[in-house]
Amino acid sequence: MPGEFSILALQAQAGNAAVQRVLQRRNTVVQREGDTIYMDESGVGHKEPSKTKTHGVFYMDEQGVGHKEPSKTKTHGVFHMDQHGVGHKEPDKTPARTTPFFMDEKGVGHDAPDKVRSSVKKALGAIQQVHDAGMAEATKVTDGMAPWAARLNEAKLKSATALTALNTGAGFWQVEAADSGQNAATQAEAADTAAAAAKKAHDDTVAESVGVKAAAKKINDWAGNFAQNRNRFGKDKARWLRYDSPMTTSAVNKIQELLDNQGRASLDALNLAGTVDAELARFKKESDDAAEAAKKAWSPLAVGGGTTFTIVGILQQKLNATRANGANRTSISSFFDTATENLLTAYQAAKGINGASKAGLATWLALDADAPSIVVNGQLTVKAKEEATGSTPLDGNRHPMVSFGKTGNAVKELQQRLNNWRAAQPGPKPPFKPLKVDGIFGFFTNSATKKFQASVNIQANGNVGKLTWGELDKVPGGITIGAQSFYSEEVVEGATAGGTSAFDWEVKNNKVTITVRIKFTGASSHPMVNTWLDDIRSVWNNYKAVELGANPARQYDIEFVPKKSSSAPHKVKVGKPTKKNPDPRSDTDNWYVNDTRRGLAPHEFGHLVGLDDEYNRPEESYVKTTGLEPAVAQTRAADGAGSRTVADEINAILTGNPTLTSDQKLGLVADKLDNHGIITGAFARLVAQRYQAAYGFNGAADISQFFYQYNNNDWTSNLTRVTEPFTVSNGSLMGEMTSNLARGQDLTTVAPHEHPVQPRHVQSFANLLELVFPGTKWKPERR
Amino acid sequence: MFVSYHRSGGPRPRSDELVEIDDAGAARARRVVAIGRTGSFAFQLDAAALASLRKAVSGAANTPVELQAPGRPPYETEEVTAGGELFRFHPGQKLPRPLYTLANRLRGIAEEAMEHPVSGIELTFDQPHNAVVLLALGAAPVAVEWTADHLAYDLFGSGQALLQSGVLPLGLSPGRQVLQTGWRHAIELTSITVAEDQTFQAKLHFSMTFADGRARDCQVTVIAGKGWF
Repeated sequence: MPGEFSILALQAQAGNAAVQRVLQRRNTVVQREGDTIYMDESGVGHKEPSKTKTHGVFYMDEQGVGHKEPSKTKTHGVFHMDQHGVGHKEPDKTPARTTPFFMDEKGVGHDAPDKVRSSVKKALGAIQQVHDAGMAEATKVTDGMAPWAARLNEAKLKSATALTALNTGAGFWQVEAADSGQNAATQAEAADTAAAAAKKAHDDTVAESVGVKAAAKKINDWAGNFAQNRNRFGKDKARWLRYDSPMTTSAVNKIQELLDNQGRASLDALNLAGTVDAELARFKKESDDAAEAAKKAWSPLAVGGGTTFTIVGILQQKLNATRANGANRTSISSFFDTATENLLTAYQAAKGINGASKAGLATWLALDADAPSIVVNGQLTVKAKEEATGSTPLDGNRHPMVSFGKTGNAVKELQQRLNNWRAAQPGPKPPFKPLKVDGIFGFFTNSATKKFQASVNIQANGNVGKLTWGELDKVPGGITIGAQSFYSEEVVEGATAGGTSAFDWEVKNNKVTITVRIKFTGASSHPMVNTWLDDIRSVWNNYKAVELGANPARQYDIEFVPKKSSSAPHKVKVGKPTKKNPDPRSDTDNWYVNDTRRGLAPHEFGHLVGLDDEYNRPEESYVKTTGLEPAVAQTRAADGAGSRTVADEINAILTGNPTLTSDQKLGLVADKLDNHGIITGAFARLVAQRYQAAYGFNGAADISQFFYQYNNNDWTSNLTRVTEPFTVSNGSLMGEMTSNLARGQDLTTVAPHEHPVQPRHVQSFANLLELVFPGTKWKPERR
Repeated sequence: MFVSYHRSGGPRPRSDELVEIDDAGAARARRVVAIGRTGSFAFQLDAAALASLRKAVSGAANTPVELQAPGRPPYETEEVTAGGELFRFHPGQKLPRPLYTLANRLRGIAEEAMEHPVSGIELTFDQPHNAVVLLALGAAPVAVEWTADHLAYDLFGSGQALLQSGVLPLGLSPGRQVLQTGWRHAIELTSITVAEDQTFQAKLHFSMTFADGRARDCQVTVIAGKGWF
């Protein structure tokens, strides 16, 4: 430091009074207020040490100015330096100072130390205070908004995530697959999570914006005062600078600095705060976009989706299958209505799922476990709550009427049951001798029958009808042989159709044998008849009955035996093409030899052994018949027509066109459905719901029966056409026969779920073993 | 319209055969399930045929008939509309003589209509080349959709016992196609030889769009060899 160094140099020349004075001055300088000042070799004080290189020894002249070389002027004698450092030959005449003086940073001494003028000091204090307050508010703005940019980016990311989840989930909405519901729900929940994050970003920002805006408001509110301060300072500044007080000048400069600083910071803060609403709008957009995406992602999974979705149909299948006892099914309409919501809410309550009436992932996981989707004959379905029933006897009795003189399996069953009753009678003397199970209703059987009837208070006439069979069925003990014969009805295409089922059965040699006699008329000797019988055997004889809960489990083949008979309850007319009718079409009573469909005879055989049709059935009866929920299938009209619109169009056709017959109107309705591209499925069922809600079914159970009644209870091909979309079919043998019934198809290799004969079709024959082995349970399995 | 005949229903594809004849004897017809030809047809009954038909219609008037249907659908029905009356019956049903006469006359006209195609598809047997051949008939293009990629065939022995069944690749791209008159497509019967005393039957399912704009499922059958009768 040059100043320091120079002092040291002077000290080297000890004894020099001038040096002492300089030292005195230097010491005096140190006393001034404010920062340390550094004196250069000229004796001038500076705030900072000199940055010039250090001098070597220098020589001070009498004026206290240092030189590199000693003065060349003649040597003075003793000279006397005045208070200004100026040497004189004579001592100063002025009286010696008794008080120290204070040198300012210019090396000018003063009687008193330099200080900031009070007015300036006061102003500085006030300005500093205002400055600090203003800067604090400005900082609130800048610091408050500092994280927003990154947060907005995060919100955008979340919004994009929600949108991606929506789009991904939407990819599953119309896919009729087992995992579509779970996948859609997973994406909906992902969209929810993302939307919640976007909303939090928005909410946090909104909350923070309150402080930012308040700070900005304060800055703004203080702007007037600030301007006043600035103006006043502008007026005072020049005056204050004239005080020739470095400290005052410094304070003035400080005030200027504060004002500038605050002004700049305030402007910056206000500019920034001016973007708050725009920023909030950006956050809101991201939040809203994410929320909208999440809402849409849930649209097929909660009420209010507004349209039809395949996964809603799948959900309805599962909710129907898991509904509580006594609860009504909901139609598989693929529309999330309040009925669906009610079933969902009940299910969630039963399972302890807090699902808020939305089919979220937890709900789908539970439903998929309780009611898994399965593929049966090419259709995705769910096992219904209802068990498959098969045909139901109209009078509740499956036994044929037998009486004296009759023969056959029914008589053998009677004889076995009477023997069981005899064995169960208490006392030493049985009511009759054991009957020979020969199938002949002779005197002994007649007598035993009457005794049994008398015991159960039935008129003892030997005629075994519904009442007597009912009592015989209660007799404990097993039987091995029997017969069933009953009339049943079903609703197909809205019309009621009926037929008789009749077969003999016997459990023998590890087989349950079902024998069906068919009387062929017409071209009964045509070789196609044997082909049809082969078809029946190859299609039906693929199952065995397996005992449940037993180890080892007993197994019995279920064997169907179709037999040509001249006196059978079932009659089939065998026809051949003729020149007048070269391309005849088979039906249940007329089989034509040119009809080589492999399912023709096996299907009709199904009726003969007590099975209902599984095509074109009203939804409810389809479920009861098959034990399966209907497939979802079509969820929207091909041309996008609305369900209510179609319902209105149907009504307009049916209530208008006064010159047309009912059948012709049904034809027009069928044409209308064709034009809309409406085929069997959920959308048609939704149309039926809309129609019922708007116009009613006039007492009919469903729309197909409504059409039938409208058609004066007449089955016509237009009735088929018009009811087909609204009814339910499957591809099994008893349905549309589309499942693996091609000739040459080896059915033993067909996957169980694709076999045209499903376990439900043979369950009742496995159940016959319960009659043989009371207390056991059996299920059919593929051989 | 003077008289109409409609045969419909049956197993899939369901029959939908309609013949409409106006007072002047102009006949329009369609058939979707047939031996040989399906499509739209039109021709003019000659005076004798028209007179014969008028007589049959007159004779059938006020003939009561009730449909005797099989126990369960689906089954075919025939409907005759004449003189403001509607007669409906099953094809196998025994009809009162006047109605039987009218029905048979109309069935005959339906067969005759097949000789006058407007737009249609024919499946024939090309014996020299041992192939079945698809042809576009009539004067107007025919819009079809190939819904199956194969034809199903059956071969019956001399006693009409079923010897063999199988499928033949159709060799056409699935989907909609508009066929111009004269379009032809042959499908060779590889590994199949139809002896004189055997009956060969091949069936093709497809969809055809008719003049009313409605697409209907169709089945056309070709019979070769001895035949059914």
